[in-house]
Formats: sequence, structure tokens, C-alpha cells
Amino acid sequence: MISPGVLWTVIALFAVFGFVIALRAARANSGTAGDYYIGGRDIGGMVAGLSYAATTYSAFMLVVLTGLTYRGGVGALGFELIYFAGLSLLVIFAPRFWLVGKRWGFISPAEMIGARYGSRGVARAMALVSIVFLLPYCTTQMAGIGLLLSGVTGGGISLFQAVATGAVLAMFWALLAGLRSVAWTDAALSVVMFVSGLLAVGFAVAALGGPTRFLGTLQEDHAEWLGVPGPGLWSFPTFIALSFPWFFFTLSNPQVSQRLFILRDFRAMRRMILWVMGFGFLFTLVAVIWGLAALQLAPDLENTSMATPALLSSGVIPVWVVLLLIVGILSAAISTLDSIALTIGAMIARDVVTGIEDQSDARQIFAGRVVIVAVVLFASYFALEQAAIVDQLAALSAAGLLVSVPPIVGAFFWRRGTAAGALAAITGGAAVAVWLAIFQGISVFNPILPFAVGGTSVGLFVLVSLATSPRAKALDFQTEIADELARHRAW
Amino acid sequence: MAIAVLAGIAVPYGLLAGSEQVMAVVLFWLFFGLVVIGLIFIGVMRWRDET
Repeated sequence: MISPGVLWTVIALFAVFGFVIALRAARANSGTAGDYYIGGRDIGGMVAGLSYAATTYSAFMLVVLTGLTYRGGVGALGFELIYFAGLSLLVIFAPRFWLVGKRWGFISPAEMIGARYGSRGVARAMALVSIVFLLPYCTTQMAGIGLLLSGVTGGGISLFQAVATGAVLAMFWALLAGLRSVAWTDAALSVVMFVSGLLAVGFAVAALGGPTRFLGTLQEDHAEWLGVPGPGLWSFPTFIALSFPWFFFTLSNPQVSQRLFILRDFRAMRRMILWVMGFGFLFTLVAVIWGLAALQLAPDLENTSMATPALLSSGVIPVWVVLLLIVGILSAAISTLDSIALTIGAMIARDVVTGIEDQSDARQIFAGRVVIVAVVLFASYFALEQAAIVDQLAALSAAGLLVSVPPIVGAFFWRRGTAAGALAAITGGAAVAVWLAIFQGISVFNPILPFAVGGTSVGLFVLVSLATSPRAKALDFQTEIADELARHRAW
Repeated sequence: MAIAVLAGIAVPYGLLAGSEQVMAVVLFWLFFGLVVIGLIFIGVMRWRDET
């Protein structure tokens, strides 16, 4: 067990480190809504890339993915690499998001889609559906912070204290300077995540006799874990059920797709993608090796989600590395949480509240700040309450957010897509997701769920669009940015 | 890329399922990850940076 006093000291140092970065980032803000929510479209490639990586690779990696590896073997690697392959969608969509964002001044993906189809209702529906599925996801991040800190101290740090700590940090970093403080702290936190993970894996493998011995023992004692379906978890249907919605994460999750608006230029866009790719691939390997090491160093766990805490408490990892990894996981959770809070703030301030676009920048920023506080308080409250419905919606988030993908793809590649089609795709798909998962009890491990949601959304988008006409004020992205795409030699 | 993704699923669950080479699936997926990186790299390197 880690002494609460030691852990509080480390967290205090971590907080000071983050506050200094956030305060420095705040100096560059000019006070406009565009500056607050998307950094004035002037963020460089490295910061954008590391921020994107920290946002997308949450506490899920070193807690849940390691647990899935512990339980089911390298199917977890394949699943995460299919998700990783979804980054290829950036090659097609990043230039398009960036060009239309710059041209029409979009701040949130929902605002972009609403303008494309000429309907405020579409923007509002997309924002609300995103909020419904992202808020519970925030709660799981907060719950992860609580369980980690209270778990490694044996309850020395209470769940309430842990959640309150996470809430204060996430809130402050998002409130202070919006995207700039979030992006800069995210970038720094991503380094902490990566270095701590790498060190922890290095010590775990060393404790097992080095890489050769580690692999040798693994092949002798857990050969089944090195194939698929492995010891049971990674059956083909389960693999498809999890991989399919996660492949589209890049488009479906507004907290990451909004990052495509923040970039300075094409050079920054390219660098961002390369940074995310490098980080993602290596961090995936770290998480999976960590899970396989836990299998040997902390065997026979009944609750496999405790693989990381068990390995941290096993005594083979030096205390300073344990503390660093705890901060790394804390970083992963907070960087995801504050990014989602900021994006939800932007969507409510810009897309949901009527008439706010005509208000002053100060009012738009104030509205977003109120929402950020509300989001973090919501996540904290439900993390403490441990409500079952929140867990169900969080698990459903990847499949539920799929409903925004057809309208996004249609926005750039199908002129015939209409506002009614987009609205039907978003609301109909979301209704099917909730009905199947909550009322019919279909698990996220069942491929029927994502395919029914995705199929309904695509079907409604196409059929309703064909049955209706595009609105007069709808924008034609394809024609408007064709020359720019060609000039930049984008696909 | 679509072919690579399909292969990333079909090969481990089809060709390599039950393979006597214990590390075959792991090595294939590592190779798959590198192919994905290569394809994305090719995709973004052709972009022209002019503003």
C-alpha cells in the first residue's frame, strides 16, 4: 500500500506542474470565443498531436485494456490496433474539417454539420446525443480516479477525496484558458503517461527476467493468451462488436474531431497525425505488455480490472515508478475529462442554447464555463453514486456515438444528404442504441448492438434524404473546398 | 487501407487460428500496426503545406 501522505505530496507536485503550464498557456488567450474553444486555430502540430493522444487514450488504456489483456490475451492488442487503424480516417477527413472550419468559422463538429445541412435542429440533435453518451464516459474517468487513488492507499484516500481532486484539476485546467490550457496540459500529461507506462513495463519485464525470459515463460505458461480467441474473451463476435464502433472513434467523438479545428496549417495537421500515430502505437504496446506482465506477476485475480492495482501493489515495481504511474493514469483520466468538458461546453454554448451565436464572446465563454463546471460536477456526483444507468450508458458510448458518422461522411461526400435525413440518422440511431442496450439488455460485447445502431443510422440517413429535399441554406462543402483540397493535394 | 483492416481481422481469426506458431498472431498484429503507420504516413506526406 502507498502512504496517503506520500501520494498527496506527489499529487500536489503534479497539480503545481499543471497549474504552471495552464497559467502560461492562458497568457496567449485573446478573449474571443474562437480563442477559448479552439485556440484561435493557431495550435502547432506537436501540442495538438500530444493533446489529441492524451484525450483519446484515456485511463481506459492502463486500467481496462490491461484488464482485457489479462483476461483474454492478445485479442486486446488486435482490438486496439483496429481502433488505431481508424486514425487513417484523419487522412481523408482532417483536411476537410480544417478547411470548412476555417472558411465558415466553425467551433464544434455539431455546428459544422448543422450548417452543412442548413438546420439548427441537426446541430442541436448531434450535440445532445453526444452529451448523452459522453457525460457517462466522463463519469467513468472520474470513477477510475477514485478507485485508483483509494485502491492503492487501501482507502487512506477516500473515494470522495480522490474524486474531488480529479474534479478540481480538470475544472481548473479547462476553465482557465479553454483549449489552450487544456491542450498544453494535455501535451505535458501525455508525456507523463508515456514515460510512466514505459518505466513501469520496463521494471515489470525486468522482474520477470528480461524480455527473452518474459516471452519464454509466457509461451510456456500462457500460450493460449498469445492467440485468438484466447482463453475465452476474444471470440470473433466479441472482437467485431468492440472493434467496429471504435474504428470510427476519430469521427464519432466530438472531443477528438474538434481538435481538427485547432490546427495552424497543413504542416501542423501532418505533424499532429504523426505524433498521435507514434504515441498511439507505442502506448498500445505498453498497455498490452503491462497486462501480460500482470498475468505472471499477479496471477489468479478474480476481478481482472484490478490487474493494474494488483501489479502496482505486487512489490516488484519500485515505489517511485508506482507513484509516477499513478500520476500517469491520473493524467490520462483528467486529460480526457477536461477535453470532453470543454467540447460539451462549446456544443451547448454554440449549438444548443438558442441565439447565443449572436451574443458577445464573453457571454459565449461564460456559458461554456458554466457548462464545464456542470459537466465535472455531474461526473463527480455520479462517480460517487455509482449509478448503474451511468455505467450502462458509458459502455454504450462507442456504439451510441456511431450515429453521427453517416451525417459527417454525407456532409463531405453526398450532396443529396438532407437535414431530415441527418436528423433521422442521429435520433433514430440513438433511440435504437438506448432501446437495445438498456431495455433489451443487449451487451456491448454482442455485435448486434453496433451493427443495428450503425445500420439504422445509415439506412435512415439514406432513405429519408432520398425522400426529402436539401434545404436552400444548406452548404455545399464538396464544391466549396474542392479547389483548396486539390491545391493541398489532399485525398 | 480497407484491405489492411480486413486482413487485420481475417488473418488472425482465419489463417492463424490454431496455428502451431505460438507468436504468429502477435507478430502479425505488430506487422499490421506498422503497415497502418506506413499507409497513413504515405497519405499525409503527399500533402502540400502552402497556406
